Amino acid sequence: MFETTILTSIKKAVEKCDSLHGFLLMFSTGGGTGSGLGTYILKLLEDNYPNIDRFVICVYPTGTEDVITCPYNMALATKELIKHASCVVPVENRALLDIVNRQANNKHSVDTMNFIAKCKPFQDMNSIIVNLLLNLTSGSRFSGSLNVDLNEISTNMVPFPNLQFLAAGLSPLTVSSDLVKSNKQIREEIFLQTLQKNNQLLKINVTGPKSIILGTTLIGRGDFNISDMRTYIQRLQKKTCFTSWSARAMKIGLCDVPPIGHHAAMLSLFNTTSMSTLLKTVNSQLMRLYNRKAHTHHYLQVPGFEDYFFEECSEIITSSIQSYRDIEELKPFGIPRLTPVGSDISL
Amino acid sequence: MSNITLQFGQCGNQVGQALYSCVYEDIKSKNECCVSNKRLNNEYIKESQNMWFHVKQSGLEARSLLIDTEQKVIHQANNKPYKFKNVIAGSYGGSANNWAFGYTSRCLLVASDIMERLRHEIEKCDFITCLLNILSSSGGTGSGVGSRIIELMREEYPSKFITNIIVLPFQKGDIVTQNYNTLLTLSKLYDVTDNTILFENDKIYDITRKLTSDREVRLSDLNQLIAQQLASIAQPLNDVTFSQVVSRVTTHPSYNFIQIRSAPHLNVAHLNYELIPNWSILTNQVFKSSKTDVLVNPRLCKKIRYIGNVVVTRGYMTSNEIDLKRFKEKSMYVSWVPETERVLHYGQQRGILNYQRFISLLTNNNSILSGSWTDIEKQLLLETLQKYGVNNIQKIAEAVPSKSIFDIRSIISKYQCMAQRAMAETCSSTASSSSEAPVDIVLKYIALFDYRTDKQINLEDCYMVLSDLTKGDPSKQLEGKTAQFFHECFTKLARSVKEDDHSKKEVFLDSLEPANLSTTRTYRAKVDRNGILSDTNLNPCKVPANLLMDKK
Ligand SMILES: Nc1nc2c(ncn2[C@@H]2O[C@H](COP(=O)(O)OP(=O)(O)O)[C@@H](O)[C@H]2O)c(=O)[nH]1
Ligand SMILES: Nc1nc2c(ncn2[C@@H]2O[C@H](COP(=O)(O)OP(=O)(O)O)[C@@H](O)[C@H]2O)c(=O)[nH]1
Ligand SMILES: [Mg+2]
Repeated sequence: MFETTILTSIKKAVEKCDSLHGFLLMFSTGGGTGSGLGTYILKLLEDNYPNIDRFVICVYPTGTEDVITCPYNMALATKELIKHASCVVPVENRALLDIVNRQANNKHSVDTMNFIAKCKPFQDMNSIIVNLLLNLTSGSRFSGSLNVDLNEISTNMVPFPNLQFLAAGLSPLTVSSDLVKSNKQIREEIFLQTLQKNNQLLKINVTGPKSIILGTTLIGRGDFNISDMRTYIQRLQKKTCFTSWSARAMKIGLCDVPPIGHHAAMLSLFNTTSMSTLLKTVNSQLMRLYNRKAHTHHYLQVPGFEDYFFEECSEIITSSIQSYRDIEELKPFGIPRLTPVGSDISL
Repeated sequence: MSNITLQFGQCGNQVGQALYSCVYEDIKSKNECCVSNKRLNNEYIKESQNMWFHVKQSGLEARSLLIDTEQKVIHQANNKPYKFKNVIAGSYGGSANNWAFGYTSRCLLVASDIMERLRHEIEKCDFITCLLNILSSSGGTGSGVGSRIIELMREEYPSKFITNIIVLPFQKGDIVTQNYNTLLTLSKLYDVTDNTILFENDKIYDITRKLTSDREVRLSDLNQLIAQQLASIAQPLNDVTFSQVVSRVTTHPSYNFIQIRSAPHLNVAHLNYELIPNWSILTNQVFKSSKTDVLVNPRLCKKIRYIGNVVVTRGYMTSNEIDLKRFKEKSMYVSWVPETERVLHYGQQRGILNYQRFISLLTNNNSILSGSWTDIEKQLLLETLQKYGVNNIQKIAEAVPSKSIFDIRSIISKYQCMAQRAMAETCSSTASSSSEAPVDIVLKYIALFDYRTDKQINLEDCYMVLSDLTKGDPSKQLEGKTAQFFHECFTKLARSVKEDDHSKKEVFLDSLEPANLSTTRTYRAKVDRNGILSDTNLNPCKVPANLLMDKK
């Protein structure tokens, strides 16, 4: 209905840019407006600006499901994301909740406590998402000795067009640090934290034994230097599993300007096969409702919406899950064997 | 005689700026021989200024074009005592680390502007020695836009001498698409340019790290080293121009990738206190580094073949002080190189920067292929692995001197991965149990509780070897008796497995619980028996007490 209005306002905004970098879309997949209209606009953008990257930061309201039809919305939106977005950074509300709760219990961060006291709950969870965005775009906003622009992230992190979901880890998560200067240990601590489950904005474990990594980006802000990054890369490669072709798939970035209140911060992005757990959750929640056909009449009343949309949607999500599984079970082709010394050498 | 530099992309601009500040510092430097020979020094300075800068009343202007598709890097350029006037950088938001994007699309935005400015710049010079392109091969702007522009340059100036300075990425973890980009860049430039000087970030990083042991390495430190090596080749020399020097090592047009080695590398902070070694020691140092330290092993040494070498010395030297005999050996060179072309020496009596003596070697040889492992190196690796096991990387690196520790680590982990997968595959195809069976951990664990009857046979080692085997690690070699025992046991086992029924083993396996492999375990020195059974650290599989053998 508003298609032309939206398009003209996008066009107006685009014309103001002398060089268009990408579109950032933010919405929740649980409600109606964000998931429905948001993904519709995503499709509009793809049709009208096919060469411009479309980054989506979307909230999966797991843990705070206050909308009953949320599973449908989530699944339908996820399908559109798989089809039309160039890069998706999903964020789970239950992960955010955990982080907020942990900080509330943490007695040390007086600053944070004061900050939380001032805010309403959703706003504080959102400030974590804001931090993610700030770090993600830091390379485009500030200078650094190893710049990472936004469009480089999708080149580096999306090996195949349908595997574009990225898990993000952030550290530090406090509002400010009382340290005067960061030293090597502290920086290393920050790096290790970004890998931990507790600092992920999704409920997945990227360094776990099940997770196979297809791509990694580490963006260090502030005091990080190239030798730090070299060590981290080596540690990361020891710690995690890769496919045979993605073992060197790492991108590093350095930005000179740290976030306000800190001397160093790091954002790590992972393209990992454990993302399928999120998709599985979405799919199983959908199927739980859909098997009973509960609430479907609301959707079917809408002109243009057909029953098979649900099934198609489940199919697309399942096939995406399958692509992840295929990679997990990928067999290396033609394994060169170690042969004993003395015999013909062929490594 | 002038050089015009074109700096492409972030890396190109950062390295280029380092080069200019290095040259500027050199011009301003006051080392001993500058003071002693005023006339020489003034000539040198004049020549060097004219080489890199356009000298105007208002000051120096670099003969340089700064090219990028984003603006952040270039903006840092202009707080120097000299000026960069030619900045061609729209804020187009980079080239997404995508060679194709840079080559086809981003290039269109800047090409005409660049060619126009280049023409202006060329007209300003009396005589051009060389067009010098500085770029990284792995990004998008440097590699993509750079490749295209250099092609256009060749079309426009078919007879000008074009040299590239290419920074190769860190082998591990830098940019995911780096291999595509590098291959595309090198293959495009191979034909159109006269020669290419390669710098490997990994190698430069290794050298820099040794120099800055007390603090952390920054990218600017890497760039400083690159700049210093470049300046030592490119700054004015007696009687020859830069392009002549470079073309002497690339006599054959198909072999035009060159590397630079130099000595001494000193920590800048210590420079004033340290004595710079004499020429013969310096010569030895570069000679060694030119062979990537393979001297120790004659078998590998044979593998290196030179097409040409040029030695450049900077600093006071009497006529016969330098001895290049080591470089002259016939067997080191490809057979068709005539004797007079093998190694050449150019000198400059004035030192460079604050170095009284500085030697650099421009070398064209086949060690640029060193990223791959030759059969001999693989064999050597296998031998050492057998001797020391996988954990003693230091020892392995000593035994395989042509590879860095980094290379060795990466190849070992690569083969470990492969072996593990092969192992998991066979496991899952033979038994239906999960591929994550903690067999190796169990074995390691048994090694801690071995029951020794014979002191000559080291059972602990046997279990360790078994554990390593199941993990797919190459393991260390067993000693004579133990090895024999091990083999006997294996044969016995094989025989008994054939006849045995499996019920007993299943009791053991059934009682195991899946171990938590994700946590790291620490073993304390002394634990009492009951403690062990309940300690999940020491007993990750919760083996029941009656199945554990007592050590007493
Ligand atoms: N993290 C976060 N989640 C929110 C916020 N507001 C709403 N949500 C979640 O998003 C879902 C509702 O989506 P909403 O955006 O209100 O619906 P819409 O307006 O129709 O798109 C609920 O499940 C909420 O849990 C917020 O500010 N932050
Ligand atoms: N030695 C060195 N290498 C660099 C520097 N900056 C970037 N690189 C390397 O260059 C590559 C990135 O290319 P970059 O120049 O940033 O991309 P572009 O701007 O798109 O051309 C990476 O492999 C980096 O390791 C630098 O200042 N010094
Ligand atoms: Mg760049």
